Amino acid sequence: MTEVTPKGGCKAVVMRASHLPRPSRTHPRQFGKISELGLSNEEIAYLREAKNDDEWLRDWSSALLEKYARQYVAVRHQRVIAHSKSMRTLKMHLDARKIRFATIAFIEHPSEMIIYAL
Amino acid sequence: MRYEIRWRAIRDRRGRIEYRPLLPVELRTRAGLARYHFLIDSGADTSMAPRYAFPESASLWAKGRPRILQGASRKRDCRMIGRIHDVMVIVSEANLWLTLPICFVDADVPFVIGRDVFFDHFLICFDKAVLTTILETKGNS
Repeated sequence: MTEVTPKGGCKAVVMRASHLPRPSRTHPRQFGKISELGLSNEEIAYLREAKNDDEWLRDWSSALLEKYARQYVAVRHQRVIAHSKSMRTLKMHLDARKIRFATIAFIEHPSEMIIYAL
Repeated sequence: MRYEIRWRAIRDRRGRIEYRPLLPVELRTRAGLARYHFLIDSGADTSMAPRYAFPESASLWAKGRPRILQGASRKRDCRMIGRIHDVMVIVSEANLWLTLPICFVDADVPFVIGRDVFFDHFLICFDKAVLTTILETKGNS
């Protein structure tokens, strides 16, 4: 390992390739079936029902899209339970109301051309 | 195993529908589960999400590995600083979980799944003709 001091004075540490961390064979497994996680019944039920919320979001009318345009919405049981222009405020609303399960989506304005959807 | 995930329809004002290869993903928070729709993006090096989607305690966010992100423009003011954390994500559509490094950015950025780790576990095919993303687990996963 070599320490390099550039003109600015701060030290940078340069590591030789042989010293770079390697993936360990003993590293805990990082991939598996959901059944291995020991989720509670409530969590399992939520995973099943959240798909209905996705479908509901997919079928929104233009009026709903315009109403919540450029906002983050939290959805549960096919209802908007909180909405805000920023993710931060939305999370604060959810935390304050102790809402544990929700689908969170950003609603684009229907007239905007999007490359990366939020 | 092979999983087929339908693209998500987004309707515009004129009723025109745009379909995008979004993947519903649950992040396990301290209290419960939060479901987000991530865009699967083979052009992105790493995965990204807004800071406030970080599922752990807010005080732990700063402990992530810092990373400067460059967006669509090369302008300096388009740069953002994020912190990479390894978080457990649940892909309920495929009945699987995995630990994914996600760069949580202190801004309202898109939810993106990039190549790092996710593309190591799956062979991914975007079939636009049938508006479906096919995820196939690799032999070593």
